[in-house]
Amino acid sequence: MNAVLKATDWYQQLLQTNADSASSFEQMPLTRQARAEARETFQRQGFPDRKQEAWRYSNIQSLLAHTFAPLKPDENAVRKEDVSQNFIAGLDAHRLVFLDNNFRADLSTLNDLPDGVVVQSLSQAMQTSADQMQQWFGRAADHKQNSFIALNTALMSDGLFIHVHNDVSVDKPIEVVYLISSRDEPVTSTPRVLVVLAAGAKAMLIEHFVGTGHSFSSHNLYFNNMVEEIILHDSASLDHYRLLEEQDHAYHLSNIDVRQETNSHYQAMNLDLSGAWLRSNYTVDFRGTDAACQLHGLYIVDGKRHSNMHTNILHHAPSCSSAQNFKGLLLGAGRAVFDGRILVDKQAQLTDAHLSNSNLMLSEEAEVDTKPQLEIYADNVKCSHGTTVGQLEPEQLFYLRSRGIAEADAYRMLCQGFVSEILESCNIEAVREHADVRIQQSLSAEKQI
Amino acid sequence: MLVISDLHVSIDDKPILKGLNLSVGKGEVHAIMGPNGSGKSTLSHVLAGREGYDISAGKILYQDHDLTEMSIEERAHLGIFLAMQYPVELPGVNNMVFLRAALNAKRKAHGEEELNAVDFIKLARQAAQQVEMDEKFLKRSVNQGFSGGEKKRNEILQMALLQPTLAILDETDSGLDIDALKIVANGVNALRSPERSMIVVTHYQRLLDYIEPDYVHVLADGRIVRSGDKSLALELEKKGYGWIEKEVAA
Repeated sequence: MNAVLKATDWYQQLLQTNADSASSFEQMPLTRQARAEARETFQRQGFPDRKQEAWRYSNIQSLLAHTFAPLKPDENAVRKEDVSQNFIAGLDAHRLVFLDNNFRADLSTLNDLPDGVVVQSLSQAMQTSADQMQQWFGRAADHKQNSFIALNTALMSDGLFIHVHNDVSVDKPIEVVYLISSRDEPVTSTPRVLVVLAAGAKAMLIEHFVGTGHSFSSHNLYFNNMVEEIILHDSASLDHYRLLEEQDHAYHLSNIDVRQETNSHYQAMNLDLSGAWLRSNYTVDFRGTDAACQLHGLYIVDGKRHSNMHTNILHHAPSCSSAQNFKGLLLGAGRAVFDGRILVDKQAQLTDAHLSNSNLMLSEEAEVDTKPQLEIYADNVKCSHGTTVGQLEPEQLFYLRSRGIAEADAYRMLCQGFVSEILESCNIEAVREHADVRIQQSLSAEKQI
Repeated sequence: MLVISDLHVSIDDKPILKGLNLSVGKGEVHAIMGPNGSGKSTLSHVLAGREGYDISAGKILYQDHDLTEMSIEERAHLGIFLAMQYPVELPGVNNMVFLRAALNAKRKAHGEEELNAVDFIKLARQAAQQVEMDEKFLKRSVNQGFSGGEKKRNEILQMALLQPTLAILDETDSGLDIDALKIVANGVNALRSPERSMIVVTHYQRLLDYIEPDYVHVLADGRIVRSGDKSLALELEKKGYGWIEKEVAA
C-alpha cells in the first residue's frame, strides 16, 4: 500500500474513533453537523495530489508518511516557568496560552479585557457566545475546498474565539501562544480559530506557535493542522501577526480564511522562522466595497526545511485594494514555494491589486518555486505582480569589506537589509525585535557563513 | 610607504596592468591620470583587494606588508580606503549602523575599545558637518536613493570617520556638478595631513584645481608612462592624451 493510501486509511480510522467520542463539539447541533459533513468530505476527497495546481510544488509525502495520533492534553507536560519563556519579550498584551491545544486559564492573562471584548477558548464560546458561533462558525472556511480543513473540522478539540463589539478598539494586542509539549509518539493538534470584529471594531492579534521540546529530538514530531476564520464587518480593522517557530521536526499547515465587508481593513504578517515543513494558505474574500488588505511575509528556510506560502485574494467587490509583499531567505538545502493568486471578478471594477515576491538565494542547494497568478475579468483595474530570485551582489560585499567589516558580518548585514523592508511594516516593536533576533540567530547558525 | 613594482594584472586572461611602478610617500598626494581603459580603476581595485583580478607578477608593499597576501578587510584595518567611483546602494542597511560597524571593526582590529552608540553618533554628526551632509542621510539606507553628489559625500564622510593612512579616490569627480565637486574637494582637503597619503585617480584635470597634487602620473596601456608635478596635468588638459599615447607607441 502506498503512503497516501495508508495515510488516508489512518485518518479515516481517526475520524471514526473521534465521531464516537464525547467531544464538546458534539453537543452543539451546528458543530456536530459540521463535523459529520467534514468526515464525509474527507472520506470522499482524501488527500490532494500533485496534479492539483495548489499542491503541485508542496510535497506532502513526508507529512503523510507519519501516523499522527490526536493530541491528548497532559497537565504536567510542561513546567509553568518553561511556558513564560515563550512569551514575546517586552510585549504588553492580553495573553492566552494553549498548551497542547488545551486552553490554560492559569497560564493566561485575560483579567483586564475592556468592555465589549470577548477573548476565550472555542469550547467556552459554545457556552457563552453561542449566537456568534451559530452565525459565523464555518462561514469563511469551506471544508470542501481543502481536505486539511475537513480534517481540522472533524478532529477539532478546541481553539480560540474572539469577538469585538461595534466601534470598540482593543486597547492592547492579544497574544496567543500555542505550545506543543514533547511526546513519545507523533501527535496532531487541530486548533480552530474564529475571530469576529463587529462594525468599526479594531484589534491586534499576535499568534505565536512554539514547541517546547528539545531541538533535534524525534520527540518533537507533531503536526499542527490549523484553521482560522476571520470575519471583518464594515469598517472593522485587524492587524494579524503569525510567528511560526515550530520545532525542528514539526509540520504546520494553516488555512486562514478572511471575509471582509465594506471598508474593512486586514493587515497580516506571516513569519516562517522554524519548523520542518510549513504551509500557510491565506484566502481573503472581499465581499463589500472599499475594503483593503495588506499581506506581508517572510520565510527563512535553512537546513532541509520547507516553507510553502499560498495566497488567494478574491476581489469579488469593486474598489477594494490588496497589497502583498513576501520575501524569502534561502539557506542550506532549504526549499520554499510562493504561490500568490489574485482574482478580480467581472464586477470588481476599480480594483487595486499588487503582489511582490523576492527571494535571496544564499546556497546552491536551496530551491524556490515562485508562481504569481493574476486572473482579471474586469476592465478598469490597476494590478501588478513581480517576483525576483537573486543572490547577494559581489559589489555590495566588496563595499562593506573594503570598509573593514568582516565577510561574515557583511553577509549578515546584507541579509538583514533584505528582510528589513518586511519587518518595518510591523507596527508592534516587541514583535519586530523578537523576529529580528530570531533571524540573526538563523543567519549565525548557518555553517557556511 | 606604498611601493608598487612591476605589477602585472589581468582580468579573464586579458592583461590590464603591464608592469606598473609607483611609489607614494607618507603624506604625499599623487594624481593618476589617463585615458579610458588605461587601467586606472583596475589599479584602485587591486589596491583595495577586490576579487576577480589575477596578479601574475609584481609586488605591492604597504608599510612593509605584502598587500597581495591580505584580505579586503585586513587592508582596510591597515589604513587603506577606496572612495568608490560608483558607491553601491545597500537597501535596508542603515547608514549609521554601517558606519559604526566599520569604525568598530577597525578599532577592534587595533585592539581599541568599540564605541557605544552615543559616542558614535557624536562622531558621525561631526563628520557629517565636515562634509556638509544633511544628518538625515545618516538615518537612511546606505546610498539608497542618494544623488551622485550625496553618494560621494557619504564616501568622504566614511573617510573622515575611518581616518585612513592611504586614501584612494577613484574618479571621485565623475557625475558631480561644480558645486558638489567643490564640497567634496573641501572635504578631502580638510583630511589632508602629513600622516595621510592620497592617490587621486581622475580622467580630467578639473578635480586637480581643487585637490592639488604633489605629483602627477600618466597611466597609459597599463603602465605609468610619464611623471611630473601638477604642470603635467595642465599640459594634458591642453593637449589631450593622444600625444602621450603616440609617444608610448613609438
